[in-house]
Amino acid sequence: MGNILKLSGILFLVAGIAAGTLAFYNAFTKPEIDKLNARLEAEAKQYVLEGMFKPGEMDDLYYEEVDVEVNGRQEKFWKVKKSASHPGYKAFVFLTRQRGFDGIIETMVGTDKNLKINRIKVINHSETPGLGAEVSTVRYGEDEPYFETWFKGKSALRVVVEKDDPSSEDRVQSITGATITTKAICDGINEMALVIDQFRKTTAAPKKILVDPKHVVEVDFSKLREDQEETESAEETDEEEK
Amino acid sequence: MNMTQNLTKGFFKENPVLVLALGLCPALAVTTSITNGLGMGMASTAVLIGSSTLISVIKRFIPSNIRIPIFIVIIASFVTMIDLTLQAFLPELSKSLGLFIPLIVVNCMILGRAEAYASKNSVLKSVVDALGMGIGFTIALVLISAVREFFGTGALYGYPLFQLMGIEGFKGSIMMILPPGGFLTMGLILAFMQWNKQRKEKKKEVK
Repeated sequence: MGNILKLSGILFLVAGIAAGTLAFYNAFTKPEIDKLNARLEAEAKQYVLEGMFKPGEMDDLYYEEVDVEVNGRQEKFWKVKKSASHPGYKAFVFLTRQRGFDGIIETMVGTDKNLKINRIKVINHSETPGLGAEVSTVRYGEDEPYFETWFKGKSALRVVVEKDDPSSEDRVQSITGATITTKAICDGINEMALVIDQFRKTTAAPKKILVDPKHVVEVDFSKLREDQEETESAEETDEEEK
Repeated sequence: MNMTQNLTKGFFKENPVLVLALGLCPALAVTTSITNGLGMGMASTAVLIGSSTLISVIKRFIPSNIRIPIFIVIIASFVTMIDLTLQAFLPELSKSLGLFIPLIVVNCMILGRAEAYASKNSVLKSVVDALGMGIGFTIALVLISAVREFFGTGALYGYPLFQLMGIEGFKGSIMMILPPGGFLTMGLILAFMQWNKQRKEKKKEVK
């Protein structure tokens, strides 16, 4: 009996020291990790907006964050203005998270005011090397991943895999052997674009939005808004248009 | 056995992957490109050196019937520290190795060396052994990933050799990047190591 207590004591002590060390080390690295993630996000935002603003304006851009709940998930997108005091916004930036073949794919998307895609950037994925991982593969001698260039100029609302709709103007090829990956990215873009589109049309936008990217369904916004207004009587209005 | 032998035995003679068949999971899973193989090898080496040193230092105070959980706690702490370090300073590598970094905890090479060597030998010897084994592990990973990357994508360390030489058309066979390619490559390399060993032994017998 005494032996068991002694052994438990030693094990407890070792685990305690290990936990203490890790807590200390975590406190040391966490600010670095946060700083890095914030920097990567800022860089990704600038990357997807490139070409839409003059080079000198890029650093002063003002990102107005809008939080929405989409199908039970917390999501956000940004309305981009030239500066904080500038009246009209010119572009949207959003981050989509969609389940690919192997884990979540995170894609940063930049569109103009009419949701036409300017540029996309896949910032996180764990797809199969050689197949799905091609989404972020830069071919030798090129500057950006060839997959991402396919999305230029397509409508974020309607972008679709070629196999699903060969006649669509907004079709993109699917990567050889990785249709699921391509489809996931398209679906993710469609879903968030639908949310932003609904958001554009309503003045007092509800914060809770349900969409199904596979079958574009009519969302009963008036009802949603009523629900919303019951709980939040004073919904702030948006005056960004024009 | 002197120190040099102690260090170099891990390179080929007792290579953890190719001869001792330890740590096969990461050797199969992450060896899709040389960058990944090298990163995984170095991360594992760092964990191996840290844990072997610490275990060798405190081996006197570890009661033998709870040594395995204590080893695991120590290894897990080092792995977490490496994981956080990579996330903070080498985010690209951290992203591409992803889940396999936390899985170093259950890499049997590290527990194997702690159990078989560090818990029985002096600190200096354990550090040298860990360094040798870590380098051997890295060599094996780079070897496997070089074969897979070359036949899978036609590139080496990200440089498309064929295209650089002006030969178009060879795009590689995707299968080599996928799990079957890993098994095939490792099987062939293991078979070659064994064949080589037997051939040497036969030569000795003849003499």
